[in-house]
Amino acid sequence: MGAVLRSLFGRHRDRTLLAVAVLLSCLCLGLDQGTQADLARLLGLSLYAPVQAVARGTEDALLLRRENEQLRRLVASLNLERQRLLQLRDEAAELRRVARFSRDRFPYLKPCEIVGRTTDSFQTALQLGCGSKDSLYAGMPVAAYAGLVGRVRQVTGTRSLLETLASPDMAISVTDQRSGVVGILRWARGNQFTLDRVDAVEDVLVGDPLLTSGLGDYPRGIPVGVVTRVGISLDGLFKQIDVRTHVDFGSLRDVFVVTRDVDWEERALYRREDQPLLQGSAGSATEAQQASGARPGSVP
Amino acid sequence: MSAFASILFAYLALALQGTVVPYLGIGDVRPDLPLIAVTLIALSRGAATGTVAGFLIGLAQDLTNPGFLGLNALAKSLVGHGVGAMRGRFDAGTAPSCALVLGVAAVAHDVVYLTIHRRLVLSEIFLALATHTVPSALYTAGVGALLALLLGAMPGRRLHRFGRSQLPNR
Repeated sequence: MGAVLRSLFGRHRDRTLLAVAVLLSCLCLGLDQGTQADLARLLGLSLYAPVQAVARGTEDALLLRRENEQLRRLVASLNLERQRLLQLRDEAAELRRVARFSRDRFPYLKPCEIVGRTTDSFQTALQLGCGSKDSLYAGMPVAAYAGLVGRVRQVTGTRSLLETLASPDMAISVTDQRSGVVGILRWARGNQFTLDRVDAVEDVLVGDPLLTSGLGDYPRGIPVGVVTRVGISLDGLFKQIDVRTHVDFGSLRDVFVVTRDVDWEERALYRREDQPLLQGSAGSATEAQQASGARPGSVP
Repeated sequence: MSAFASILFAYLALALQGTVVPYLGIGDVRPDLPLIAVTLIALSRGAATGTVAGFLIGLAQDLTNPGFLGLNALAKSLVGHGVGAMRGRFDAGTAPSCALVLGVAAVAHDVVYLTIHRRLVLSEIFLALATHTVPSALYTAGVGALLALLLGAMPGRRLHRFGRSQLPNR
């Protein structure tokens, strides 16, 4: 026995180590997903915690000022737009009431910071700094400023794993905002996606924006991407449509998890401490309108 | 490269891959720093260390995405072993030859990786190899050769003397 071990780890050391490494790798690959996630959390948190802390601190210091300026500009523009949308909301609510439709709902967003990225170039899973303690559950949709990002795949107490749209297993129902055509969005590579199950006769053009259709697990109306190419399949039955997503999954820093649907009302959507900011911004927006001579409530 | 320097090098490569490299991407194409670390360690210290380094670095990468825990570990241990075992047959002491080794290692790594990740669907494997692996391998080779030159230029380092020149006398 000793001689065999001496031979394995002496003369054939290289091959023995390779066999052990391959065996251990295969064992890891054979574990069920829950065990893999537990193992990754246990080892990964301690391994990457110092790096992530330094990276976040540096990023914050470099980007915070610029991001604040961008956000202030965005808030002012969005408030102008919001005034108009509030009028439309009241009209739509009245029409839905007359038609006896159910009340329109609005997604409630929980902001979450991205605390870890995969270092793997073929997969873009992200780790979020929110977990079950923040009322997150597996399957919840996740969006960013620009549009849909993906869904929560696994949740622990304070962390969760976000599976982005750029995953071979993801397929979501989207609709063409211009024509209303519905198709299934699947990942191809990088930020490139395809829109499947669209008949050759359907009306889809290059440049059409795509939104979530509301069929399936994702709420209706979240921007997803834009059509970049339209062709016909070899059998002539379906369209071959390429799509580019609005979100660049590699440079995300913050995301918003859709934790539940709420009524489209300020009390449900905003916190009490946000009210002065909203009123202040609304005031700024009105001032901006008056300064530019625009009619109050008009879209800029 | 000493054991301590190897560990430090590997950890730095992993740290930078998750933090800085996303900003260095040209479109979807990014250099693979952990693979560079495995290759340079294997060139410097041989097949046994290359295999262990490949396994540990790959496993550390897999921890960031547990969906395929063990896949990077498998691909990188094979690359580490292969580069380490072949180091006596070529001289990777110059930047072009070092880049060539890194490029081939990157392609070999992705072939192993994609075969399992894409569940043997050949069309998807070849598409990913053509659109992602080849440009990434070129980028990785360029960055790796530059890094090897820089590390080799530092006093007390002999990273530019890979391959034959570092083989023990037989």
